[in-house]
Amino acid sequence: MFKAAKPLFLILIAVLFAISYFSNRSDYPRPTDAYYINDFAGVFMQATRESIREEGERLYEMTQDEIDGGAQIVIATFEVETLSDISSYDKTDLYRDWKIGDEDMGVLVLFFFMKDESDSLELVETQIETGYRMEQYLTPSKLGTIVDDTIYNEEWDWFFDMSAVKMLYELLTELYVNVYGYDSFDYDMDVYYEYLMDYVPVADDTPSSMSLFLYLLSPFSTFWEKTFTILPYAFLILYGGSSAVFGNRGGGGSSGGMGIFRRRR
Amino acid sequence: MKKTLLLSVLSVFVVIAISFGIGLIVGYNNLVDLDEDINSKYAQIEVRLQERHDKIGQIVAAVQGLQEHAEAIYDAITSARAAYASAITGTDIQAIIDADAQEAIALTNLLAVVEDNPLITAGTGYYQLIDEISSMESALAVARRDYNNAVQDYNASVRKFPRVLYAGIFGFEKDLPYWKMNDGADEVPEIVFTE
Repeated sequence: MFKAAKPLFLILIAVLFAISYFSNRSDYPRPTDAYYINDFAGVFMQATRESIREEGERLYEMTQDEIDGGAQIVIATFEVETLSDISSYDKTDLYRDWKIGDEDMGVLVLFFFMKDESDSLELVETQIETGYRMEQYLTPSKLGTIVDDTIYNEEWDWFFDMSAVKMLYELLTELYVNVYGYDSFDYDMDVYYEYLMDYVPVADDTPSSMSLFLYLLSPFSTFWEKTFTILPYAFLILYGGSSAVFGNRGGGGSSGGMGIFRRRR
Repeated sequence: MKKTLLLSVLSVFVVIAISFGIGLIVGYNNLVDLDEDINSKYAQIEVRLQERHDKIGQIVAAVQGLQEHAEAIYDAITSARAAYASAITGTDIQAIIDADAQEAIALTNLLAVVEDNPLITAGTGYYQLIDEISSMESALAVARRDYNNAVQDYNASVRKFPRVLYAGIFGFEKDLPYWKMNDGADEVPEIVFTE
């Protein structure tokens, strides 16, 4: 009985997975597992990616129980060939696709890069989209000032990791202090610079084991392994523990086009 | 034998009637959802239009002496704001769409005056003002797009079979108008900061 049901069960899971995968496909890339940092252009150092992810997770966790809580700041980088290619990215669509922030309390920062004559990537445009509820806290003029003082500031003009992290810290200061009532959010860019210089990168090419999902579909796992692994995970997903299964995820937020566009002044 | 045949025919009719009833209920509820979606998207446009209306008022107040050196633009803004104030109190959507277009054109002309005034552009507040306007127009464009998408979904649904048969009976309109603006008035002004 069980022997006969086994292939049917696997086929059913595969079909459901395929339906859900293809029905949710959009023109935009899906966010990475880290969620808070999506470095598609490959411009950040590993240490910076780690810092952005950790700050994103911390903000989300620490503000969960606050009024207008569950804020998420997501950063993405894209490489484009021409300036007109940027128009193929709609920040509102991307925000809605990635469902940033609980109750629309999210911020999406997009950095667009283009190769210059020396073939190195140069920042050509910054865009920020705020969720519906976040609009009242991070107004376009506030965002413009933060971006001008960090990303387009000469201080760290030569080191994009530093200016991007400074921008993130300024956004965090605005949220922790002015939205959630913390006394302060202290940071020191000199300390961060030291941290970057001392950081020992972890090799990305270490062999990783087969993902749990593939293992469950593979013939290597037994029927009982399949059943008893899927059930607890299904329970976790149903009762709000999905981040333990899938990593960081969006809070389900939406936005309505508020934010800024900025090219180099 | 005859009794069995009668029962079978009756069963088929009952099944068809139940299916039709379920289809009717589901279809009706779906149309109500789509109609409500349009209402919520329309409300979003109203919020954005009000924000722009208020912002234009602030800009006019901030630009000292505008009336003296650009009387035509000042008049256009005043009449656009009056048209919006009048339209928003009524239920004529076309009047609101026209007022939206009028304000958009007036705002573009106002920006041209502001850009030509070095006393204003030299101040740091200028860039903040431009950020606010650009963002506001972008949000308005998104709100219009969302509204039109909702209208498209509704119009397509209401004209499909079998809903087309009973949509009229329940008072659902069959061809709701889109938020259409002419002469590029709905385009977000492109504002680029150059070195």
